[in-house]
Amino acid sequence: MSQRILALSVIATGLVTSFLTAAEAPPAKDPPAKGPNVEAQFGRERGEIIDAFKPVLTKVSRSIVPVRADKKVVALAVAVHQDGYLVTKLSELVNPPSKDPDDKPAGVKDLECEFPNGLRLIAQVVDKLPIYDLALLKVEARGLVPVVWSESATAPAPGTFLAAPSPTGEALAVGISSVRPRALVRGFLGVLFGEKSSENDKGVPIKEVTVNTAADRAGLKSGDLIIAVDGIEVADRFAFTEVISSRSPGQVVKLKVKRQAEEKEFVATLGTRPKWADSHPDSAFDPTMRLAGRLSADRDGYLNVLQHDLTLKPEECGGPLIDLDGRAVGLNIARAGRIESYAVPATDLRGLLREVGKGHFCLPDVNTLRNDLKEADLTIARAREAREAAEKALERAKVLLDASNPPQPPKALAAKPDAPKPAPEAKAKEAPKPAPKTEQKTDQKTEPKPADKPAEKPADKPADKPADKTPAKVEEPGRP
Amino acid sequence: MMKAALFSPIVAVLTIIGSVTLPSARAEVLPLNAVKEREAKIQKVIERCLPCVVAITTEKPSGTGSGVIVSRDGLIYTAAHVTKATGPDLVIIFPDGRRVKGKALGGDRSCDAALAKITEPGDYPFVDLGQSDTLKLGDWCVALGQPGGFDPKRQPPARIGRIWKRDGYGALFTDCPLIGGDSGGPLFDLDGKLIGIHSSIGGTLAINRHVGIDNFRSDLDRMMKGDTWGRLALGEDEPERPVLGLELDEDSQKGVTVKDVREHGPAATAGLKQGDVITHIGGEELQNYLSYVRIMTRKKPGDVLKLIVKRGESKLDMEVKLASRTSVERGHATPPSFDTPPEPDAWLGVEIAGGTDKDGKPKGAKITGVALDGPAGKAGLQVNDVVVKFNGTNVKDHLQLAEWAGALKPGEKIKLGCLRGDAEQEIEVTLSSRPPAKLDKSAEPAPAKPAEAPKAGKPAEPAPAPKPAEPAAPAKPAETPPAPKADKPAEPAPAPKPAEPAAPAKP
Repeated sequence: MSQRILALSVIATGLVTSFLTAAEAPPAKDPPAKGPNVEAQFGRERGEIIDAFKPVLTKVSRSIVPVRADKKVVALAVAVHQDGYLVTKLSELVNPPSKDPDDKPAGVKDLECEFPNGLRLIAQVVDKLPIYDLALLKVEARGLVPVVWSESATAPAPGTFLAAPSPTGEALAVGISSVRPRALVRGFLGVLFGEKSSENDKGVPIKEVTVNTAADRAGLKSGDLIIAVDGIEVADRFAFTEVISSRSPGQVVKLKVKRQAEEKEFVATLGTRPKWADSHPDSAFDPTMRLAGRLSADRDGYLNVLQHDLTLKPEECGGPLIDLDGRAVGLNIARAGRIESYAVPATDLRGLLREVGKGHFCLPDVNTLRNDLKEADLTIARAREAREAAEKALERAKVLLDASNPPQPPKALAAKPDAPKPAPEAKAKEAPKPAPKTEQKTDQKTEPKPADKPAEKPADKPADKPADKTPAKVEEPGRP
Repeated sequence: MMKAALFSPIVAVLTIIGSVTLPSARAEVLPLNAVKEREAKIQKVIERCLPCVVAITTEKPSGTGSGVIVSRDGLIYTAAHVTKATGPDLVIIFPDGRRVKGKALGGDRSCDAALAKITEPGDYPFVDLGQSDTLKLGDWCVALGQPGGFDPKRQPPARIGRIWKRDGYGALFTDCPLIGGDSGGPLFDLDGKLIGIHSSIGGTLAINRHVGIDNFRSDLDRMMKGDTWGRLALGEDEPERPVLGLELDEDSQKGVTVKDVREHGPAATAGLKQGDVITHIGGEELQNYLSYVRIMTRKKPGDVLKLIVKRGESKLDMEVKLASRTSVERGHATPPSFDTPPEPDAWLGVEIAGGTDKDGKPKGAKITGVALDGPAGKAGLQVNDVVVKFNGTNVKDHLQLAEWAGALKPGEKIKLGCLRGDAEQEIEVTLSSRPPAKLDKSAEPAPAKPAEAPKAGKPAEPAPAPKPAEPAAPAKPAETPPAPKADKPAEPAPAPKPAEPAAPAKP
């Protein structure tokens, strides 16, 4: 690490006043190469993108410190209030890592934040937010430089250049945002799929029920055929997966199951995806994941995260994620795989840190949540209506087209009668501008579009996954 | 609940040698607004191309890969190891969760390129095709796909990286990281043009291999017809790779220069000589070594090719019959039928173990049992003989002998160099077909000399050989990767070698 000029003034009590006020850092040396030499020449960490970040890295780095637990650096922390408050990744503060609220951070007295010049200050955990895996730390210091969170109402669109600054003003990694923020809270039933005995079987055959899972406790057995979940028929495993993963851990689902010739109903309380699921030979985990390098021990179950492709080490999480303008758009919370890292979006953090000077996180109050929920329900209802209207319009158009153009097979027409349900709205989404209904001329090859704008967006998202709407879930974690 | 296994990118510890040198993009220092323009371009690529990225899976819970739609009526580019694992009937899932039926078409397994098609009529979003052969090292690119399989709550994640290598098969290497489920997914340039299809990954984050899009272009008609050929090999160690039996100068321009001619190989038979310059193969003009490799990946052993060769000032027309790499390496130029690999039913009639030379160093295959009425027995091989040569090529060990003999057909003649005591003699053996197993068991060999007879009660050659005696399942020689597994063909890494394989043992 290059030595940097740091202006540190220590007041009488021995505490830090202005922390990291490096004015002009000497040019940072080239970032360490990742990967083999042959790649280093052309890797993205060597490109013009990382150069573009250099000017803003220095400024942000003043707000970042390494966190040590029992002398070992376990994470980064970012200053969020001048009176000694910093935010970091909660689960890394205990050994073994865990964000379980019952796991009292062992050895809090041994938590230290490391300031420039090797000055280490004892840090106390003053608040915890397991649903985001965040901890609020307090050090006895004043004059910290709080990070500036992006004021944007939305998270950076996929493809936005991002960097993870180090405490010394270098880029730990650069990359892009990969996926719009989403919840990683999803239910887990604990079954392995079997093969259907015939194509026409409706339902999901269970090959194996994993012991000590929701499915096991509910009484499901190998050989059962799941026909419906909460009244929603699941024709195949895709439909089944969609329903289950849209439910949260702790939620109760009703399963309609065919056992031999008999139809039965089971009630299961969904669990969380256990870590061993990743190493099960039949699970989605695959050997390519092991080529990822070290991953964060805790990397799932977050309320809302932005996925990006920066290759961070586990101990490099807890620091800010910045865009080309140096705005902190999130806080890196986990390295989750070879291709994925997660950050808590600034849109969430701004609210959570509203009263951080008082030493605690802020969750939205119950009334706000109720309002959000009501609004979400309304949006969904509107989307459903729009979807039905679009489907009817599509039917009409098909009839008209068939009638007016009998010899020509309607090749380009969108959906066959037996096409899966979402077809019409998917079509609708592709067509950029909704066409007025009157324009459904028979010679037009395109299918009718939804009548008005609301049909486009809501039909695209919430209608498909009503339970995904995040505000609906906040109530539970709201308890602290 | 668990998801099914993924069609992972093949985990290949790709050795980075023998890359084709490309012109590289100049190092740039870009002003901030130029970087922001690039950022906007990347965002646009993702927004534009994302709806065309699909998960390719089956009704059966066997796994999931990725693909990308390239035509309005739903033609899909994907990886050959994906459609190989899915079988013909596909379920195609769009990022918004919409599912349609599809079917697998043909593919070129040697470079991992394949086609699929949505079978439900419709008007599908599709991407534009770019070019891969013209890309430069250092060019930026964007990867999409369905890593980890389709996730209803997640759009296909975008990743960026740069091209840092291209191999002799036209594949691109980038540091756009891939994982299982990404296989078959698209790689785009910054104009949103499709330049590659995800294929395999290596041991570091930087090793991510993508089939170059130009590999699809050259054989599109053949794949459209449903033709599938080649073997998933991802490297020049592929045993069934068609070869001429030549070592070529990789830096050649305007044709390729012959550096060496492999004895007994197809080129030797045709009369090619060191210093010759091949200018045309099968009617196609050779620009350079890469164009030669391109052509060869589309051929198979047994194909007859016309060559135009420049020798000094004269131009020669020649004809060669391609052979498989292994057959040339063992000095045996009869190409095995490619589409229907020969049943390893040729029978030598011996039980073998690892041999040693007179100094006790491992060498050759030691005969530990002989079926006296079998081919070896009739030819005069005896217990304790050590087979050290096979058609003039050194035999490393008993595994190699088993493999080589096992690839032959009954009726073929082989010459075995045998050490008996200090003397080496050459014995010619005519292979027969393996006697029916029950015969093996019932027919107690009548030993002429008890000392040399196979162990009592044990047939000379156990039909299902527990140890790699004779070639029921030919053991691979050490130089070639272990047998590919069904769904992850090239898991053991082929180490690509630049030229045609030099003989492991020069005669």
